[in-house]
Amino acid sequence: MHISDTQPAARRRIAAALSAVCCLLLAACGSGSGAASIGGNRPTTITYWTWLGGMQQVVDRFNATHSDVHVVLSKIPAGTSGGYSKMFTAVRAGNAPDAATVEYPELPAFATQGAIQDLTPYGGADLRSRYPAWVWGMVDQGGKVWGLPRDIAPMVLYYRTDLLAQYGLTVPTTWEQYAAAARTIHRRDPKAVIGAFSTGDSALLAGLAWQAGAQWFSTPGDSWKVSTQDAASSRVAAFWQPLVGGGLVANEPAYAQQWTADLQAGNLVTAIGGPWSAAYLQRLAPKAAGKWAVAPMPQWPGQAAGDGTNGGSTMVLLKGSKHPKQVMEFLDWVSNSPDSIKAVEPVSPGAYPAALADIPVAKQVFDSTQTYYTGTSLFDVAAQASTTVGTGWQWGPDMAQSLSDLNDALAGSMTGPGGLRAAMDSWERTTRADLRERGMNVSG
Amino acid sequence: MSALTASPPPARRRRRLHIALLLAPFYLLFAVAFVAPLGYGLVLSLFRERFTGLGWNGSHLVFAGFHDYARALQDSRFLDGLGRVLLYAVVDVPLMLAIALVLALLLDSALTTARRFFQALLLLPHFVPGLIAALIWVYLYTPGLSPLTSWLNDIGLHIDFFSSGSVLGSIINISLWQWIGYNSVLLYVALQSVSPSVLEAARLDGAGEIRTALSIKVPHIRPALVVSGLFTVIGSLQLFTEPKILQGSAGSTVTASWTPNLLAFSEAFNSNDYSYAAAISLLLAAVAGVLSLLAMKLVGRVDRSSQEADS
Repeated sequence: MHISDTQPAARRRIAAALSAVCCLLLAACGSGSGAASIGGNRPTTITYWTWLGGMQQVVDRFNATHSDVHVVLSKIPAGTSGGYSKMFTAVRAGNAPDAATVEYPELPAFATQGAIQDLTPYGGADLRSRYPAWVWGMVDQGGKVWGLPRDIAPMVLYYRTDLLAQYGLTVPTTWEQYAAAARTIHRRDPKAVIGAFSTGDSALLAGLAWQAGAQWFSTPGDSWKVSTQDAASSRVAAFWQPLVGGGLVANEPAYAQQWTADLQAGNLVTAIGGPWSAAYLQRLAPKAAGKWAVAPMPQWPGQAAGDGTNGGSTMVLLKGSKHPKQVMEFLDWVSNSPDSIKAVEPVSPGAYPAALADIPVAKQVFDSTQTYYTGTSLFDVAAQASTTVGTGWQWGPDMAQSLSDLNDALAGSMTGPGGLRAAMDSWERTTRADLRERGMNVSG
Repeated sequence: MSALTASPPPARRRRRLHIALLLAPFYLLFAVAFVAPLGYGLVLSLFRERFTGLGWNGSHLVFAGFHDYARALQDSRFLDGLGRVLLYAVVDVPLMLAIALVLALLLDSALTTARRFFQALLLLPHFVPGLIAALIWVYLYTPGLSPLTSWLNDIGLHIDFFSSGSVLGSIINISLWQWIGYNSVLLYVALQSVSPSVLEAARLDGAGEIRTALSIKVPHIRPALVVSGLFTVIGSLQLFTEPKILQGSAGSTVTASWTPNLLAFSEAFNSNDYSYAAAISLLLAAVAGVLSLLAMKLVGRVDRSSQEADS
């Protein structure tokens, strides 16, 4: 079992290495014309799996401007809705695509499971200065570069200008104001709520804890430390517990049926999301055009301004790809070229580039094409928010499972004893046991 | 034995060849679709992937023996899930059989006109794929969207179909809706084999419709009842689609390990722990096998004793 499993993989790796060497040699001879010189001018075809909106346009633009590499895109289900299992299964079966989209939380799992390749041999490590430090910290782990950041999602607060005015409120800038506004809104209209906090959306809770300064995973002394016992996590739990328990916020996952119905009915006064959420609000509630605006996240009093993230994605090179160099060319172009940004932004407005140099390009397209949002530009709010994102946050080595476990722990937390705090405690134990079971070093 | 292998007459040999030929497709399919996956699952379950340090250097496969089986038997998620599906079966099976039986008897009774119409009507929900049925019901259960909940609210009933106390009932309801018609048609077909002369004799002896149903028809279709029951029990153990759909709905208390099948799915496709998923699946198969055997044994004994009583 052991031998037959690893042998083809080893063979593939040798083949990949050989083809990489060939490419380099030929590139050297052919004065930089690269793979195109192999077998006439036939472009190398590579496959790319994603579920992100606007990527077909990006791929079309890439193909139109590149004669050496031809990319074929396949739409797959969203990562945690089956896309990731599809990728893992394809890698196991040896028929994986060359490139794919992976979100930041799941990147370590793809790395540890051996489903993606280190980009360092293809110049990945030289791109560090392109991105904010907190972004690079999520792809550069264990001394290897596991993916190129494409878009990032510092959290922002979307709000209905008309509804806030109707309730005589201003945009909450602190969480205290947020809670006070929640009470006012619910008193004035029992059907309306300030926003949603779902006990089925553990990634949102993680982002909020990150904003407060928590650091659930860390790797001191070559072992995983999992802890939610810090003051920031407790603060977040204590804040949301009465709001959710008392029905002052809607306990429903964002973008799902019920949330959408509330959004359309004008029952949601604000929504926490990433810059990418802009496209969703616009699409799900087209009638509210001109009523939504964007503000920074409410802050914790007595703390320096902070933020967490809610989404964002990287581009990865999957294990078994026979054309790593060409894939790298594609990844590099998608995650860092004005052309790519111009292709995606009109289709997926709000997509916020990870590369610092691309942000003005995206902002220009967004500001000049969209009419749905009023007030300060989403891109100005997000740019400011991005500078306050905590740099210490790290995702664990098995987040698909960990986030699912946290959802399970949260599921009954509103009626169970101890609420959110107890749910985090039990999740922490489950996660430690899970990592230990895999043979990883776990401390604490 | 030695006489058989020595040299059977050609006619018998040819017949044996024919039998083998006729049986071959079955055994071939059995091997490909049943024995091979089971064997593969067993092999998967015996090896697990181990990481070192922080895990950045990848994993290696090690022989783990029955480690994952022992792990499952100590895993509260697996045991809770198993308890849940057994509770589900305890409620679902009798309810299903009772309602299906009543409907089948009504269909069969002389009073019913337009039998074909009702038969088709009963089967209709079964034509809807399980996934779609679950989606429809999630819609009907979701407050704010569902006409059903708003109607219940109007008459003063505030039911949360997703709360931890009621979600099992909500799933049983979906299953009943989908399978009652199927089971009642199955039982109705069995009722057709009751000999008219027996029924006539009962009538001549003065038995009314109800007495005939209880004393003649029901005992007669016991094997069909057992088969229906068995399928429902095995279906309960494999409960997956409905809770999986309900899991994604708002405020749902269905977890990723709510049933053993969900747990196996999550272990395989969320955390890439194929060996543990295989171990859970095989344990579940073993439970289903034991339950089926017990049911068969029980029926066999009852049948034999009733035959003895008859003679």
